[in-house]
Amino acid sequence: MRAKVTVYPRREILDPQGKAIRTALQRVGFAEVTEVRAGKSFEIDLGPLDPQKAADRVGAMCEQLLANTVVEEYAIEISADARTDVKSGAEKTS
Amino acid sequence: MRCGVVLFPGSNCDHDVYHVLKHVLEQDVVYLWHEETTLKGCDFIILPGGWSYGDYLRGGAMAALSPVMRSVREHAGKGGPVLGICNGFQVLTEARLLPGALRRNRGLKFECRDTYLKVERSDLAFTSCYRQGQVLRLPIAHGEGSYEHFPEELDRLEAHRQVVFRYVSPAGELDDDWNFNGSARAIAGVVNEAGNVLGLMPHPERCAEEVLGNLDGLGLFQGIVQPAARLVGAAR
Repeated sequence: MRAKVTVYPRREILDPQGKAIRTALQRVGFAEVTEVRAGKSFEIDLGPLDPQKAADRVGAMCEQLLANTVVEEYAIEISADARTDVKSGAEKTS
Repeated sequence: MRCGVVLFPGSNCDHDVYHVLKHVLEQDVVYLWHEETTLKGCDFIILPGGWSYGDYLRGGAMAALSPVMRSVREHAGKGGPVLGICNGFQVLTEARLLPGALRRNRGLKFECRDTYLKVERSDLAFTSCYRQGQVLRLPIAHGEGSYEHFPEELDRLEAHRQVVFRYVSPAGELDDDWNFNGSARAIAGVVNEAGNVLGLMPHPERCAEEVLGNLDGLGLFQGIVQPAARLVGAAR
């Protein structure tokens, strides 16, 4: 089982980082950009688990550590997929 | 009184706090490593500034789960005084010992400068050396010090008089230009409902000795360790 967790600042909260990135995107010609929120994502490998149980456990992880729910909100995706590594520039040159 | 300065990997204002308590106020002071499971008999716990655990995940998030914090929580629950400065404030909010959260500064800039703080209440032990409404000059040095909470929770804080310090102009007026990090309602420091756990972003330990040219921060420590000093402070 694998969980993907994304954490974003709550919409009501000023996200200065997202705002700076939006401004930069607009400056380089992406005028269609209206809003950017900058967050974090986590990939968590869990071993064999029932999907519902996995979602519950990861939800608890979010509440306890991965997100600060005073200022952030989170989303969880659970999948049974095998590990698929994202190819990064650094990996290609190694 | 025995004071304990908690040391997380990445703390960097610990010795300044130790120095003020040990050499300026002549108290018994020990360091408490983050892996400690007891507080070594300390009566007053200080969480200093720095970058505990490299600020991984969020400022204070990892430190809040460290072993020593279990004992700090117990101490706080029994009414023992706990002071969190800068990163220590972040740790206390992440540990839910104080309400709210500290977010990236409004302008994304690391702000290192003097700020002016209005003392919103002087009826706490911590602030007993200050006068209600007194304006203090204390330095800040942080990138994530913008205080945030849900609007209804901010109202609750105000109703319970939990806002202890607010960023103001040198004249003591609320002024957005002097709220460098963009904190909600210009909040610089809050206390728990019981009044024994206080957190603030500015650094009182950096202005607590004559030679530093500013003594405005000393009262915050004196209020706890030298109750006799309260009268002196009030007469100032």
